[in-house]
Amino acid sequence: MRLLLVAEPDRSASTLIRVLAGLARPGRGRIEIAGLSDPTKDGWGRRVAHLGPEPGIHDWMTPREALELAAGLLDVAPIEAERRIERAIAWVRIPVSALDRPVGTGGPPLLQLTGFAAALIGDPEVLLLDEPLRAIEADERVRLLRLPGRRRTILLASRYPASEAGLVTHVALLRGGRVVMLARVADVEAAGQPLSLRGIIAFADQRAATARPGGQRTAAGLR
Amino acid sequence: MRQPVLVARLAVRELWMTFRLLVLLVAFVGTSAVVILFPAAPAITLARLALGLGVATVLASGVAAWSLAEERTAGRAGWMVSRSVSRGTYLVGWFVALSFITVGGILGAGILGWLALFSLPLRLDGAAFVTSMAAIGATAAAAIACGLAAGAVLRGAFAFGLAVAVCAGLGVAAWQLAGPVPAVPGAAYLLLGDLGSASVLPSAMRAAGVGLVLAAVLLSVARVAIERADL
Repeated sequence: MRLLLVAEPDRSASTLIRVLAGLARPGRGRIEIAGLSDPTKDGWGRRVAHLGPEPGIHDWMTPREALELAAGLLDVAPIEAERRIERAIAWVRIPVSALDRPVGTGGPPLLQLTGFAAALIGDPEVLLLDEPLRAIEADERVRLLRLPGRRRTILLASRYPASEAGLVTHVALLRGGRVVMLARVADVEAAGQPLSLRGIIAFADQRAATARPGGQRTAAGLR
Repeated sequence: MRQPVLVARLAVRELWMTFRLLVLLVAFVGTSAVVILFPAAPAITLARLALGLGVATVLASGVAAWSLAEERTAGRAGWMVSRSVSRGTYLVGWFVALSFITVGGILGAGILGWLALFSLPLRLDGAAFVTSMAAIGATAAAAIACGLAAGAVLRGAFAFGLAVAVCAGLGVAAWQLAGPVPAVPGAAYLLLGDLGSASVLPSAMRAAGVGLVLAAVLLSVARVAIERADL
């Protein structure tokens, strides 16, 4: 499943991603991923990866150092770590000349590519993406985010849903921190709505109206 | 076991790259260098050494606070946590890194300080001197833990200010009390200035114990604070 999280009007989609990633604490309740509530590496820590708008990598680190650190923190065996690092570098296409230069010298694009590659090192089953790779050119961004692997679940929080077309299979709309609509992207498009914030809201309102007794009449009345 | 080592190593490198490691070492070792460069009467020399180490300890607390606050706000703490590093491990890694540098600085200051005192007409008890320095090390660990607690809840400059104010306040409070009282944080520095007294050794041992207990308590407070913090 590749789920697009859209929030109206606040930033609760980002907040939800941050809560799931363990970066923010929920006011109440608890989080379970794959039946586990322990976010450390003994729980679901190795199975989930997060990438936010700011990757959080030290400017002075080289991409190779950052990836080696990511592998080390996940206790990946050295030979396997080397293999995964090479695979991640090949996927994100970090230039060879930039691999051993501080990420700070490559600006936001290199920083974000390195952060994305680091997120892939653990071969995560669940990928939590919060406005990812915004510094990357649009076509390349789409290529990067079309990750291979059927068993991967991707949650993508975005304020620009139209830019995520083709990347997601489902969409959820949050209002005031609550999920008010969960639908397949195909259903949104079949209803004649574009995958934009306005289109998603209109689709959610349509569905809510038809779900209510006499909803058709209300919706027609609104029109 | 691997994660705390990786976090501590990364913290040391971050402190090195941002010159904060150098600032800490210079603050501690520089104190003794000044004592050597400007010879004075034994009592004044010991007082200068104690004052310099006290100021350096307050600075170490501020650096700890600023560093953790910056790691949080820059998203670097979050990056580690999202790589399955627990918040407690992250905190311990930074505590070990800062303590390692501070203890190195105190060791250097102690050796230079001993050389400075050795040339003075003063009968020094080596065990009392070493124990006093150990008590200062334990108090510095408590100051670092205090700084980390501030850094876990406040932003850079505010965290730095709070940590410095608390540590300096405790130092002044210890100084204002009549004579060094081992149970008061900061007494270790006064004991160093009182090295001629026969009762220094047991008092220094008690001060070291108080420093370690305080460090453990403040580290627990910092742990609670970082567990609730947004990263």
